[in-house]
Amino acid sequence: MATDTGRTTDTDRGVLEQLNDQAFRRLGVAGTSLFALAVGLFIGYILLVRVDYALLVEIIYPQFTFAFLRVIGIVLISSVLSVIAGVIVGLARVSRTRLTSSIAKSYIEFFRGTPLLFQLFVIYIGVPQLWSGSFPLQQFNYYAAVIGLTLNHAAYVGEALRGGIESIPDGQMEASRSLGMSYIQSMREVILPQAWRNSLAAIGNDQVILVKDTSLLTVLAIPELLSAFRQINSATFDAWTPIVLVAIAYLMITIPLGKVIRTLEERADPATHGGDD
Amino acid sequence: MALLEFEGVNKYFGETHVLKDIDLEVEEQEVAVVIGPSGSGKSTLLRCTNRLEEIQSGEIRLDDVPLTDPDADINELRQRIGMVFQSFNLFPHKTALENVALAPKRVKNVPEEEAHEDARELLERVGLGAQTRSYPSELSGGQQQRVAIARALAMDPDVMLFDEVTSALDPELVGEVLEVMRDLAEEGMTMMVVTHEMGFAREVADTVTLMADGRIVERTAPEQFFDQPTTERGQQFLSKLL
Repeated sequence: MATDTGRTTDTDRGVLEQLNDQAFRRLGVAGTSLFALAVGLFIGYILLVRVDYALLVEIIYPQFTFAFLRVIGIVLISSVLSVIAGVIVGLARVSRTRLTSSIAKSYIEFFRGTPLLFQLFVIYIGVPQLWSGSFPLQQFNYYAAVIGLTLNHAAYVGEALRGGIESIPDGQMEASRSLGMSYIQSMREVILPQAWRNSLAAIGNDQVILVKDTSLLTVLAIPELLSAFRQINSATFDAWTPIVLVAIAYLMITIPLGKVIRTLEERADPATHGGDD
Repeated sequence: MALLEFEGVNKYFGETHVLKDIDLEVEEQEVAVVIGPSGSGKSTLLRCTNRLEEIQSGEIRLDDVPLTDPDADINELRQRIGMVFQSFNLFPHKTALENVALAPKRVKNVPEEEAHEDARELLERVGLGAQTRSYPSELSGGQQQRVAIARALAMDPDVMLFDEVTSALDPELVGEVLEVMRDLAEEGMTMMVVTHEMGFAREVADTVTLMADGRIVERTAPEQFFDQPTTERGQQFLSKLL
């Protein structure tokens, strides 16, 4: 690291390093403060000068509220389904049956390796083309949205869970099996609870991304938050009022979601809760 | 008929021939200590006994039931074979009591209350009556290993396999685990013990089996083995220990 070690004695070096650390910390404080000040000034300017509060009150209901609730609904359904499907993908991925694990691997490769936007088009535009007559589902765009988000995020959840499962020492499965428990019982009672804890952070991270991925649903003609923004913007020529609303709306979902995940992580840690026999 | 019988057992890891034509009989209530240099195949022999490893030829029978038969109900057979590991392998997300009660509840469908009551008794028997609610991370190595023994006993097995169960312990914790094993032996449990604890072997074993290079080279009573091994291999092994 240091190139001038040849000329400095041990004590010199101690002092130097201490100085450097102190200077580094001060630089950090100064830099972040400056950054926060600039951002604060900018936000203040936007909120005080740019946002049209009369318009804000006007658009917040019903248009914006409905878009917000629609996003929440789609997120809730897709999130639950993608975690369930992800557990299946993860279990298939660690299967000792070659066929099962390679099918799961291909699934993950495809859904992680192609853009979600493309996958949404495949489902929304590609699939109905396979019908000769008219496609039987009304409002297929909503189905397509949920299916697309679920299939895509199941791949990420599955891969996160695979990592969690593989981080559990082999001895856990061996101990469980040697007691006469079946593979399924061992997975459910011994491996998955531990693997779940290890993968929670990664799964939670993915679920936050799922929330943000709903912005892509605008291409499926679903009036979500970004569509609402574009509509309001083109009708009123005001950019910053809807921008502020969109930012608040997304953060109103993602910040509580982050809290929920952190709570789950704490609850999954046996050291933080007492014995419950 | 012996309780546990090995007949012409051969095991390969890839190209490596780790168990060579093993013939061995363990009688009911026998404490069979298996010793030998590392890499001699003694742990593998135990792991094959409850099919954590598969053998390539030969047969292992428990009570005349061939457990190496591909059609054997391995979950059923494993209930009759308790195993204790070098690295304890306790379930870290469960308390000591839950570790012991889990398999009886799930496998034998013992009602929760009863399973917990039995588990409490077993933990008391291994001297851990006060630690039922502790998580493994809160226990010392010796305590964890005793929970692991109680966990294996909870399935009421016919035979117990001990795979170098004191090798991962601090020296001062070895005694408490051996004590529990000594008690078990006195109560008449059939045990197959892979160990480096020669004092334990001499004192508790009914038979001592020396393995080297995947073969059984000597199998005698402990007095004879430790006083004057009949084979050259046995003499070599002993001379290295002293």
